Amino acid sequence: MTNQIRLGRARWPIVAGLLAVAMTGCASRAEPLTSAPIPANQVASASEATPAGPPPSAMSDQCMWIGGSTPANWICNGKPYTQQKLYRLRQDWEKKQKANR
Amino acid sequence: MTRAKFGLTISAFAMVALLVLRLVGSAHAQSASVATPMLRLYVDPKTKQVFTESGKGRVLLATIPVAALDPNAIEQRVEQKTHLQLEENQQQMLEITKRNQQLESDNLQLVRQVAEITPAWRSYIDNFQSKIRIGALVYADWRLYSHTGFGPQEQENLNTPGPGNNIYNSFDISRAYLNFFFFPTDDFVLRVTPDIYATRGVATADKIGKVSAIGSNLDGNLALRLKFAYLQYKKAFAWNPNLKEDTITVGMINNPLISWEEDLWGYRFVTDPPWNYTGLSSAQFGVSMQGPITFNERQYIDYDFGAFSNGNYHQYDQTNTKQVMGRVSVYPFGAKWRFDGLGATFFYDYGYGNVAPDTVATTSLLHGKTGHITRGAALLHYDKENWGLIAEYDWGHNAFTGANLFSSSGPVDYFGVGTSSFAGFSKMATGFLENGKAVERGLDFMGHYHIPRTPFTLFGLFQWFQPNTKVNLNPLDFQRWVAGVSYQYNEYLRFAIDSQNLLFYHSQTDVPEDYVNSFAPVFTKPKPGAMVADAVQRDTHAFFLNMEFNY
Repeated sequence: MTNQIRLGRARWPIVAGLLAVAMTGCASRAEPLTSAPIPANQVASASEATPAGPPPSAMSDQCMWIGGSTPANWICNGKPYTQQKLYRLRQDWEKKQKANR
Repeated sequence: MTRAKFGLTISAFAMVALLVLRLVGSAHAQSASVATPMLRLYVDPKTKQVFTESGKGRVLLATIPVAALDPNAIEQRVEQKTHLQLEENQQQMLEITKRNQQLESDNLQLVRQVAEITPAWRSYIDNFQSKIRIGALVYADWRLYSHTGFGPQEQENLNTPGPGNNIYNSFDISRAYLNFFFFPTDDFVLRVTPDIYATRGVATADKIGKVSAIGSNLDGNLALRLKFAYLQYKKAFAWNPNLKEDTITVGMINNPLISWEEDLWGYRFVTDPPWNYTGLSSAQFGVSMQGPITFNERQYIDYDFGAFSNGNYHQYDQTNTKQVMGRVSVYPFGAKWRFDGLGATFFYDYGYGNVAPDTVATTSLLHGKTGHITRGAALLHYDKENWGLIAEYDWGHNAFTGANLFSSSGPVDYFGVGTSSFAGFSKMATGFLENGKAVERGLDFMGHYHIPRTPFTLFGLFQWFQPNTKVNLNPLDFQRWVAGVSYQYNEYLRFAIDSQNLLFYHSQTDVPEDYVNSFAPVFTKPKPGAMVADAVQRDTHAFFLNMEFNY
């Protein structure tokens, strides 16, 4: 008697299942790290990013200015914003916080 | 015959007549009922009364068939007529309903059209936001020099007195853009950007009449000039998915390297990037093509190249040639946004000195202004949201003149407005830099690091530059370093406090005039053993408070 695991007839379905899991893992690793691929525009689109929760802040290390004037363009957590959009998001958030107190 | 018999005979005759009449009458009536029983109506003209029997003074009004007076028949006829009338009315109502529906629909359309027909001024105002953008970019500073010296400008429009003016300090505005962008259609954009510049130069006073004069006010004003004025076509390559964001630009346009590098580093409001510091202008007249090349929504290449005038944006172009410049940035792992991750950038510029063709043909001791000019840069850069690092190698030919070295201030001797103890140094600089064969080389590092959970960012720049590698131990070789911290106040405003230093790093030495003349004969009849004393200039050290407003 050996210590081998006897798979018997079940071995091929099990192998197929393991292969499927492995391929799924490989596929997910190929996905970009951000939630959606973003065109590398020279000018950010103000309508593209409207996050839920506390908005990203130009004053924090979440955001980086990537050039431009009128408007200045920022990347925050991998998403594009104009400076006006960041300002509006911050203002709206601060108003909500005040109203909830 | 007796009277009684006569009376009986008359009565019998009357009765027979009556009977006959009745018989005739009934026969007539029978014949009439068989034909059409009739109702006779009589009217008294005096009283207007209507009777069914004749009488004194009455006249026949009408003769109506009795059948017409039959209630059932009347009812039937009335029903028929009413039914017909109803049907007719229903028909009419259906038509009216249809017409009403049509009218309602037409009305709705009309209302819609009317709503869309806005007055011209209202339409203009409503479209204003999407067709026009207006903004501003202002750089301001207060600077203090613990040690002043000759050298290039830290930024455009900043000038500093030379050696011997320690603790010189100044409030300045070094940039004041008003940005106007016009988007009349989806495919074109027009940009017009006036900018300030510091007027420098003393014109002579104005003599008025015999005994009066008015001093010149041309020196020191901050005047307005055009920095950018271009038309950009955005759909030139819309047909190609990889090039769809690429553009063609014509007019007074950005330099392919300088503006891009300013954005990459992010601290142009503090100081110029390397080639800008050594004289390459950030704008020229010309035509260029630029944009990202993307695959699967990632940018792998970003380029900008074009043909430009040899003069920069504030010079009259005197040449019959043009310069070409191009930059290619490669992101081997694909950039999700501009500057993302690892990138390698190559820049090349080939042009000529800004002189008229008949000057080129003239034999000259100094060929710096007439010879061809090249500049190159190779950069390796890495950028994430909270930090970035740039390493740059520069090279050039005939690309750095005395005018660039002394753009902040230089000896009076160089500008021909006086003589000083720097006369020999001035000639030496001219000979080493403006002989038309100088070879430049430089190495630079720039970086920034955003301190986590704070609005502060550390930044720094180091530039090492050799204005002519052919000179042995060139006293004009320099290092520049800038270090500071910035504070992002809000989305539009940030400040920086920094130290800026220019170091002529060789040990102090004298340079033989003969040696200088081997590059260009700037010393006429040099005496044997004559030297340019103290050829290495004093360093410049300054403390800056900078401000940037960007909208």
